[in-house]
Amino acid sequence: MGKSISIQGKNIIIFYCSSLKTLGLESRVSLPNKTGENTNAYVQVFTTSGEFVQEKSLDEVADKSIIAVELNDLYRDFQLDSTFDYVFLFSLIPANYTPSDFQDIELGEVSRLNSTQDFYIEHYIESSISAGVLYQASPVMNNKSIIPQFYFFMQAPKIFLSEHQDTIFQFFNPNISREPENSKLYFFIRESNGDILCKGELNVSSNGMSMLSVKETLQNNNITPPNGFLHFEAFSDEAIFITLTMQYNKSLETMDLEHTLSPHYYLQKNKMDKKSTHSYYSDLYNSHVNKSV
Amino acid sequence: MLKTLLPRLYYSTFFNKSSIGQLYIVSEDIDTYFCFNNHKGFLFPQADEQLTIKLDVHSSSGKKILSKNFNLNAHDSLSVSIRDLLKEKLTIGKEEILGSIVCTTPKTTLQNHFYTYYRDDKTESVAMIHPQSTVGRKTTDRSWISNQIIHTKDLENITLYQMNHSRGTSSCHYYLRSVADGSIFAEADVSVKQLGVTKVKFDLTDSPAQLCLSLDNLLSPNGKPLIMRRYKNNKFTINHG
Repeated sequence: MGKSISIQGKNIIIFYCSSLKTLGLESRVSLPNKTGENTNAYVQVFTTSGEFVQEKSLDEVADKSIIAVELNDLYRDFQLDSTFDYVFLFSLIPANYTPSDFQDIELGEVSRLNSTQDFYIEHYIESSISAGVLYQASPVMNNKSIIPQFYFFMQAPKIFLSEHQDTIFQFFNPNISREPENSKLYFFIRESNGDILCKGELNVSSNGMSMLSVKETLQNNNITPPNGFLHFEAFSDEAIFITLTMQYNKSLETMDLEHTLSPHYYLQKNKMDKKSTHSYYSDLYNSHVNKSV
Repeated sequence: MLKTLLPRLYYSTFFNKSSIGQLYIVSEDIDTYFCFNNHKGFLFPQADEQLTIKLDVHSSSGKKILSKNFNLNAHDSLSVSIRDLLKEKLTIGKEEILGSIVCTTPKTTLQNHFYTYYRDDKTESVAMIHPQSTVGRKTTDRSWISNQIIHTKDLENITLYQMNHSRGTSSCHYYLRSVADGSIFAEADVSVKQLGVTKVKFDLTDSPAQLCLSLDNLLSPNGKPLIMRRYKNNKFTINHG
């Protein structure tokens, strides 16, 4: 028998995403079921600052089937304010579980259930364009009883700016315990030669979502956003974040959405000294002074 | 014994386990940028190490066209236009030129998960996609069903771009099925040479409102096709299936 956790049915197979009304976008999700058993879909709604709003059961998702959910339908059903973004925690509840009762389940089984399929969020502009991305989550994320210390590192030359195009990062802070907690991440925006253009920090509430517009960040630091590619680095020792990268040109209505890979994809064999690496970036962050502020 | 050992020796010599591939699309309008950074310098910053990254560019039939090395300091990044690299070798016109890019780092540094950034200069359509598979692996002999629903309301067509990361020529059969009743709306066969790329376009006139893509033989682990959605306003998005 492997290690088990006590978990509610609604938190076993999970997927965090958000609406993006504040960017003028509509949203829908695809919920596939490849678990090998029939499930019932469920949704919990949070504000972007992580306050629980409402929850309810959705349709059955039979094994080997897929359903679409329009977030506008949930805005209507829950009477949500259509000028705000919300975080939606979707789940597939195996048929032998109830949403709220706690049951012990082996971590290996939790991992299997959450890795058998990705879920899909798609944002769209009616009669124009859409962009979506497939990714996974896990109820183990930010569960301190299982992993006492979290380290988050993000790197990628993923920023592209043009006259009208911005790069916007979304950070989710998953935490099925619903413990109110504010986690901070720190970031650098670098030029291709490694020079730091500016540094900054961002708060992300448990079960909330925070956005970072690269153009706004540069402008707030009195830096004229250059056209072309820039490099982004982020780190934290307070939580693991689900990160999405959006390329968005609001004027021309073009966009793209992609997820980010965690360091283990880069370093499958080499053991990374996360504490030491985090210390390096903390020291660098504390010693760097943004030029124009 | 010799028969099974020889291919293994050949492929372990020819392919570095850290070689990762993704496909490119290049035309007068569309460019693909190979975007990468010194991942070792980021993850082991105390070492402050340079990193050499090798880029091999292959044609749609998998033939190597050119090879180039890039040296990066610890926190450097680079975004390289594949169109600019190909201009030295090919004439680029309106027709899309397809092929693969393979990124290799020294064996000790493991994998650099570069990003490919597709951009249309005219419509400013964009797409950024991480690489999906290492090269030189066996075909999976596994069927695959996409986890995303394709909503067809605003779409003119979709094009599937398929790279073959695996050893030798491989084939698969695509199905586009109605989500509502599972009926087949369209289907097609493709055959792709090792490190080659091909595409197949599906017109969506009179299609069901929701479609789901599947195929009978995933060419490599996670070697799903890229799906380009072309909208009625001529803009596109691309994501991995």
